[in-house]
Amino acid sequence: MSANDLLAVVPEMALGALGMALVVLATVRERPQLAYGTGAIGLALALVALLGDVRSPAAAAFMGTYRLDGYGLAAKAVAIAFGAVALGAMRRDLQDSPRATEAPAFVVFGTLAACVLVEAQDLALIAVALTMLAAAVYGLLGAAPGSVRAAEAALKFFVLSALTGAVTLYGFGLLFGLGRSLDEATLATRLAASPPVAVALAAVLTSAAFVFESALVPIAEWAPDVYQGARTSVTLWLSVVPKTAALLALARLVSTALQGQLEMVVIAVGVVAVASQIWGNLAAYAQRDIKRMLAYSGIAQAGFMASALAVSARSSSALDALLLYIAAYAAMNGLAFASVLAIERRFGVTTIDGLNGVGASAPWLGLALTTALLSLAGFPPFVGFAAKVALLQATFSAHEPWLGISIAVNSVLSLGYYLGPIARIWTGTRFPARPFVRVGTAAVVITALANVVLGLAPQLAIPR
Amino acid sequence: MIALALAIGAPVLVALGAPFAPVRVARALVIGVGLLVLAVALAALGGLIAPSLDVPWIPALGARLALGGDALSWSLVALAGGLTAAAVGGVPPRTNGSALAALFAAMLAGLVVVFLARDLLLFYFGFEIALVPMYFIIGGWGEGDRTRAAIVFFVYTRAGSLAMLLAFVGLAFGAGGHGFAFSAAAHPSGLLAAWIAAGLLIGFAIKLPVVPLHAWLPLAHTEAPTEGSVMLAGLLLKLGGYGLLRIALAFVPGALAATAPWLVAWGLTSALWGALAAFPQRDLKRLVAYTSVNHMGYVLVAVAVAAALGPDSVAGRLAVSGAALQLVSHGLLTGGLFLVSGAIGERFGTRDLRRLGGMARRAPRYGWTFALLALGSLGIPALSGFAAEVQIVLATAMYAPGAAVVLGVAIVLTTALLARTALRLLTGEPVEAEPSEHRGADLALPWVAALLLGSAVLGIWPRVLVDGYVAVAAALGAGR
Amino acid sequence: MSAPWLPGLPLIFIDDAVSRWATLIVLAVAAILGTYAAGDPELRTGRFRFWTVYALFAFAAIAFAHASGLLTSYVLWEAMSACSFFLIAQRLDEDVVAASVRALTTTRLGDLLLLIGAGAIAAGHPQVGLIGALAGAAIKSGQLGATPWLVGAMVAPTPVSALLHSATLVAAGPYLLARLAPQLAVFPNLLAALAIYAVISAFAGALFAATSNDAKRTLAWSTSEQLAQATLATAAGAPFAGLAVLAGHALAKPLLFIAAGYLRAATGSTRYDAASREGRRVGAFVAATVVGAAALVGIPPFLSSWGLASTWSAVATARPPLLIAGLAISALSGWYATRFALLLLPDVNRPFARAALRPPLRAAAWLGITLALAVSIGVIRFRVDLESLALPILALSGGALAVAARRTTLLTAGFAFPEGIAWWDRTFSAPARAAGTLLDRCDRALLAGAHFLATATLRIGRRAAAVDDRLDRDTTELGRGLLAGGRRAAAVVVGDISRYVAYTAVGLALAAAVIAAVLATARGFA
Repeated sequence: MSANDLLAVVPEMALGALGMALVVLATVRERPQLAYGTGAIGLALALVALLGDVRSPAAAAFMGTYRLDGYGLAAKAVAIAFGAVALGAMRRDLQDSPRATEAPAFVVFGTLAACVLVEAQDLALIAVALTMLAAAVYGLLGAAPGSVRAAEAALKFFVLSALTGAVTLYGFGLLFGLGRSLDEATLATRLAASPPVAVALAAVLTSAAFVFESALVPIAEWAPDVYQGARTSVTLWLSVVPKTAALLALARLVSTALQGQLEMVVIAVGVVAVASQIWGNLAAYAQRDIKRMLAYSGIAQAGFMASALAVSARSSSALDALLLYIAAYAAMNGLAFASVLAIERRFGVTTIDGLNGVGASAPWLGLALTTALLSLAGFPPFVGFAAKVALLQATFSAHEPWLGISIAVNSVLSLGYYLGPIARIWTGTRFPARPFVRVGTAAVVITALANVVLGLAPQLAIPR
Repeated sequence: MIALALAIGAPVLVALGAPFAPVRVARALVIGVGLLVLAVALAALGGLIAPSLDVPWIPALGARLALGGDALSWSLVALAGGLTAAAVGGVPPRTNGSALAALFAAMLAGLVVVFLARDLLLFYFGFEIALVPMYFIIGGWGEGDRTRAAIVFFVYTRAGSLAMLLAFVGLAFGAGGHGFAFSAAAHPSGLLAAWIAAGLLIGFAIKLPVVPLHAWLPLAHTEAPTEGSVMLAGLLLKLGGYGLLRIALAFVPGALAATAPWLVAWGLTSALWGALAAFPQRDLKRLVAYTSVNHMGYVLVAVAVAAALGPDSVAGRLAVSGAALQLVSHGLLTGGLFLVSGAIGERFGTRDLRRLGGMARRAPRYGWTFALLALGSLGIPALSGFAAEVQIVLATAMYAPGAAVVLGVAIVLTTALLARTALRLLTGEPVEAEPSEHRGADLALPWVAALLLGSAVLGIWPRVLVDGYVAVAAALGAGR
Repeated sequence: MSAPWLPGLPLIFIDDAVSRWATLIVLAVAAILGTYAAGDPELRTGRFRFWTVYALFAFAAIAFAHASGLLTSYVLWEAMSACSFFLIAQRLDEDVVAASVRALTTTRLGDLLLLIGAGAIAAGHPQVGLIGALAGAAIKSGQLGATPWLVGAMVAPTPVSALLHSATLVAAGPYLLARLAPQLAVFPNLLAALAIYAVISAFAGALFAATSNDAKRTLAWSTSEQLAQATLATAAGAPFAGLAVLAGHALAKPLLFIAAGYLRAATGSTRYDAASREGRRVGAFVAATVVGAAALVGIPPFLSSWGLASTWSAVATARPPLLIAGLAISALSGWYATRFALLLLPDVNRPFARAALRPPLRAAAWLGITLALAVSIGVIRFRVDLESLALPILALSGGALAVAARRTTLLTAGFAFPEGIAWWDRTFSAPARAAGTLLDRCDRALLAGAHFLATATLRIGRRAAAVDDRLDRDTTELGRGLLAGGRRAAAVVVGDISRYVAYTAVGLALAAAVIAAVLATARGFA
């Protein structure tokens, strides 16, 4: 452990310190702005520290257990920035909860866990990060109770995360047994020499927690219930950071440790990706509640990202595409949930049919949600389009056209349920006037800008 | 460079600002920007300016911001500008008119980008931007079954554009291509070319449209508001034809040539279908919509002939320039037809052919304008449709006289259809006109007159454009 | 002179003797009929529109006379078709509308066949191309098979019918063929086929004309017959004879149309039996009818005599067997011309309406007669600029003389002995009526055929539109199906945590099992 190593993880250390400070500040219940403000400022500082590190990235830190490359940098930046945005939204949304001041701490810890998850090269470190991430999530879910559904959501998440975490740990154990090392790089060569069936079993078990966190088929049923049950600002954070971190971590794992089993990986992950896309898209049609629909949409979007995952070892552009999609997803899904949050608080609307008249009463909000949905559907000039194109390019240049075709077909399939709410928003008459709270405006604005800016200049999100 | 900034930037700015202005100002802005784009395009056609741009955009995807035009591109840009102005100006102001005007400006921006794009990704970008506003226009300001029309329209065309995008990705990264720019993309051969050609054909055939992928068109054209139909028929259909000429002919001519007989048969079937299905129609707009299917079938036939015989052979040159001229001519004439049909609907409160009639006496200007446009549409000499059809028929005859005879039958069917419709409007029992509060319907006639003038100019002196089109054909043949 | 209309496709115009004569004739006919039209009571409304199109049409016809090359011819054919559409649709009634649409459609088909022929020739298939041109010309001149449009277009105002359908528009076909004679000569089998077709067409035309009971329809069929003979001239290798037939026909027909116009103006109908047997003869009217009839069937000194004589002489030289038909045709044509004249000119008084006596109409008639005589005599007397000086020799050949003599006898006999004609008519009325009924049925069958085409088109169109509607509904059903599929997919998520755990376990186990099985069986995996 050298000074260089420590300097390299300054942002993480800052996040850790911040988290602990927030745990303390969480007790100051009568002044929530203290906790939230500190959290936001701290996250901003961490981001500055992250991006301001002008030294050339070293290959790895801490004896090779901690990667430091451009992809990780980009993902961490997205996670931290998104955390700040989510905090801004949560401040007003969780106002009425008696445990509101706990949320910032959980967010920060979750962000830290996500950062570690995407940079870890050591299985043990990954396990720790996974656990921490899961803990942060159900902490958050519980920070705003008051409804049975929220508590139920927290419990479901807890049970499944515990189960899949255990399975993954078992998988890690098997991998260790086969390769006699916890380091991904070392495992690569050793696993290639091991009996393939054993490696396959271990890989399947290992993937459990990642599949769960990113809400991919077959462990995705929790997503609709949890997204719908939790408070919208919590769902905002939950739908982006854990999912994207898990996907990127799995991509790392696959492209390094499981390099030797390329064929199997491509097909297995590809099948999971396609199944998620299809199931998520189909089920989304039947939904009446916006958040539930967005949950299924998120499953499909995870399926898209998983396509890039599937070929990440074959083609260098696949990881680029994945990063771009992660950034895009953060922007689009963030905008979607931020708008839903604002609309929910302003008009008391949670269903798609209830969106009738939003366009007439609050055109900017309607425009924001429309932008989010169009971006999710993959329309230029928003970032969703560039991200889909990058995915297509990655799958085709990796010579897996079936994945690309599935992305295209599912994009078309998804169109209907994205357009439905748009049509609803812009029909109907004004809502009757009622007192309302402006919630999440900053979140809406920031994510909307991100959608447009990244849409016109997606190279900003591709690390080079 | 300034010209490009004007041509693209001005509509974007208007699109962003128009929703905040009062209706009249917004409409004036859109009309102004449409005419501006028209002026820029005419200057480019006349050789006064030759704007182009080529800078890197997304290096990771090999995409460049490459814009530039030849006769084909600029003539369509001119059509876009002129028709946008006519569509907005020729119809009385509506509720939420500012938002509607902004949508038209956005469509115009997208169309200019498509027609000038020299990069596949930029092409697709503009393609989608041109389509999104249409959905809102149909769904928000349409009539009758507009929601269903909007959704059907969108799903169909989106499916097509995704097939197209897959083909573009194949062109950009398959068989030695290293980017989306036209100069960087591959010219594949063999199986890959076949797949790419299939994707391109499906995508463009949905947009043209060609039977059996055309079912969205009658619904969308009928339920859209008048100005929407004008843009739809006049411009959005041209995207398909333009794509066939600019991309399919340029990048996969071998695959097209190999399947040319099927493509010709396909185009002829579509032309016949459009003409036949139009006969029993009672709604004026639906009838005109079907003639669009018919006319665009000719374009597919021409493209196939050009591919089979080579774009720079005698027949190929005729085919390419005939197809290009047909695009422009159809835009002018059918745009005018929709404007007049809409005006007739506003004035008389109905578009049902069984109830309209006697216009020669009650509303001679509308009746005779419609008749002139209809005759131009069926290909009367001295209007642009004739020049286009002559070239296409000649080229097809040089390829396969039998196919040309079938084409002739389709033309004759359309002749009977449109002549009969025009006369039916003029004769018969006069319809009671709506009271004068609908005088706003008279807005259409000056614009229609301008469109007719344009068509006449092209009909009598087609060389103003055709010389340029022949150069485009030669360039296609040289493999650029 | 060439006008660069399209690159590589210029419009070429030449100026030779033939075109100059043709121009002269077109101008003459246009003047005659223009004078007539100025006084025609049918053309009350829309005068500006009428005269504009009339002038445009004349201009197009003159330009066509000077056209060289198939493309230029095609463009001007289309121009003439378009003008004809406007000219017919003057009255804007239902039957006029149908006729004008049918006229435009049919002539357009002919025009397009010409264009296709031009393309085929350019692509190196001269025979196919020439067949196309022939077909186009046949359709345009209302030959057998394409006559319905010609006959139906007779509902137009009289001067329009005269101008379009007897003098200029329909003559465009045989005129073009005459111009194409050198190219056609390369394919003797084509010429043979054309000759046979032309003879059959002429025979049919003469037959229908002889048995028709309507003055204008007689004239329509007679047009078809005369033009068939013009075509026959080209097919027999004497194109200038054909041109002469065209010219003679162009000068003669308007006169007969004027006569029919008188009938219409007087009695409101053009049927023969509407001409009542009381009334006064009007000098101009009588002269027009007689001279027209004579000029039409080829009595010297009118141009048609020389033209028709030359035609049949050429046929006699080239294809003797067809001469038999020639005799039948000339007999029939004599008969119908005589019948026309006599049925319109009873020798007893008959009241013609005052309207029929307007000065312009009379002037038109005298003008026409003068011009017809002058041109005919001029051409024959001076033989100006017309090649093929061998024709006078041909004109003396026996068959021609016989034909001419026969017709002359018939007509003279008719005038000298009206009772004789009446006896003739009575004696042969029964078989004539039988033949007439038969032919009338054929005639109606032809028209029914055209009508069937129209209804079939409509029916097919309805089916196509219905398919489109079903496609639309199917798309909507697809959407609903998606929704149903979605509900089924979402039904998996019932909210019970134990189910989720079960799914997880099953999913993982299944994945592991499948992958392991695949790997175990296919050792080749990396």
